Amino acid sequence: MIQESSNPLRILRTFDRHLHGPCELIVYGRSALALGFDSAPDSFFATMDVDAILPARDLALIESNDDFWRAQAETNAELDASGLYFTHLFEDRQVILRQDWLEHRVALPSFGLVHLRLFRPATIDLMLTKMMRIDPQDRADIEFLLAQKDYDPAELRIALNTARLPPVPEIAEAFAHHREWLLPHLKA
Amino acid sequence: MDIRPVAQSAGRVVDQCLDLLRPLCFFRPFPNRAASKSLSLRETHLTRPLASDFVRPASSVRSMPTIAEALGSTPHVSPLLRRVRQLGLATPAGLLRVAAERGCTHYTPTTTASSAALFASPTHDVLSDEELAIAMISGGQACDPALIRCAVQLLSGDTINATRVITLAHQERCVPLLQHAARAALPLDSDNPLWSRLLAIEARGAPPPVGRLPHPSRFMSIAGRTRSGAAHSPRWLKPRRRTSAITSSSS
Repeated sequence: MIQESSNPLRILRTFDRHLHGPCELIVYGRSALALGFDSAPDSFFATMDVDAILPARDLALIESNDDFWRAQAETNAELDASGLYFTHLFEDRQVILRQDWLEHRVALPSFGLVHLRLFRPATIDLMLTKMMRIDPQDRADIEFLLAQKDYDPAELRIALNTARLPPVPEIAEAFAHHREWLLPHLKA
Repeated sequence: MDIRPVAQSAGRVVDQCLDLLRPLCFFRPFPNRAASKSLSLRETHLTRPLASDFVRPASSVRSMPTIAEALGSTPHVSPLLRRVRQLGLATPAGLLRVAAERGCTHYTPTTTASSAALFASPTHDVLSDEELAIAMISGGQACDPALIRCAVQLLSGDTINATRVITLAHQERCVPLLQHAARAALPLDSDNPLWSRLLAIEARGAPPPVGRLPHPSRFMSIAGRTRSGAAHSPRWLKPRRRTSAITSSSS
């Protein structure tokens, strides 16, 4: 059950309050797991920040959107004492995703937000984003996503062979490591 | 008269012009003597400014990876670097110039004389030492050894707010880099609480690959043997503070 008083919602509500106009945001990472799945455990809601993906097609607009950056700065200033922050924004090419990930994004509930419209990547793409480093927490998150029922294992198998990887050797190595672990878990 | 708003507008225009001319990898709007010496565009940019520190190098000619890429990750779209660019500090030389003015004279870029005359540096209330240092080592910043060493020197100052540094380090994804520096700093700069606090942060993911970050000896001054045969002890590099170093635009 989604916790209304959670860290991710607190960050996003603060950001929403500082915005002056409409804004779409695609969250990922632990905040996407916390807000995007009813079965998310309590620990997911303790994440101290919100990660977001910026689609390549929107980058120029986002870069020139002073409202976005001002609201982001004011959000971080207001939340500074709490340790919460909102700075981890990634271009989609810097994250492991399917080529057509944007077409599969999932809308999140409104949470009473006025300006913000939230999305998360599809479950398959969220799994891919968790395969960029060899880390026990990321592995646990992949296991959580594997247990969800809103994806097709056959599509996941295809994604593991066609995902778009950033050109960083360590990321390719981590992805191969996770892929090798993951493939036997998929139903034939 | 504060020329920064004018300079920032001019910089954006130059920036947009360079973006249009990006396919011409060796484009130089201002001819200089380095052109005849076949230096890379990056090298010429650091030794002779193309259009002062204001110009963002075209990505097609940037030769070094970002710090995130060097450490096996990917860079984020950094709000701090965006703000720093808007202050007219789009290049490593610009950041080094400001750091040198704030006491990190060990890394004074050769552009100091030419660029200082054109653009006023941001004051501490506009860009704190903590923010300046973290901007030099943000995950989205070029992995420039001079920037890394200078940032570490700046963070070794006695006016640095360790809590602020750690907050910014998390936000800008440079905790692993700072922990690398902290391991080198502890034996020589043990009075600085920043280093032990950094090392207390739980590391996630693999440690920095060997050889990607400056060697620990790069953060200190190591003099050779004296005439008597004794060797000087290594000295951790700290910024040299001038009495009027910390100024406020409101004063």
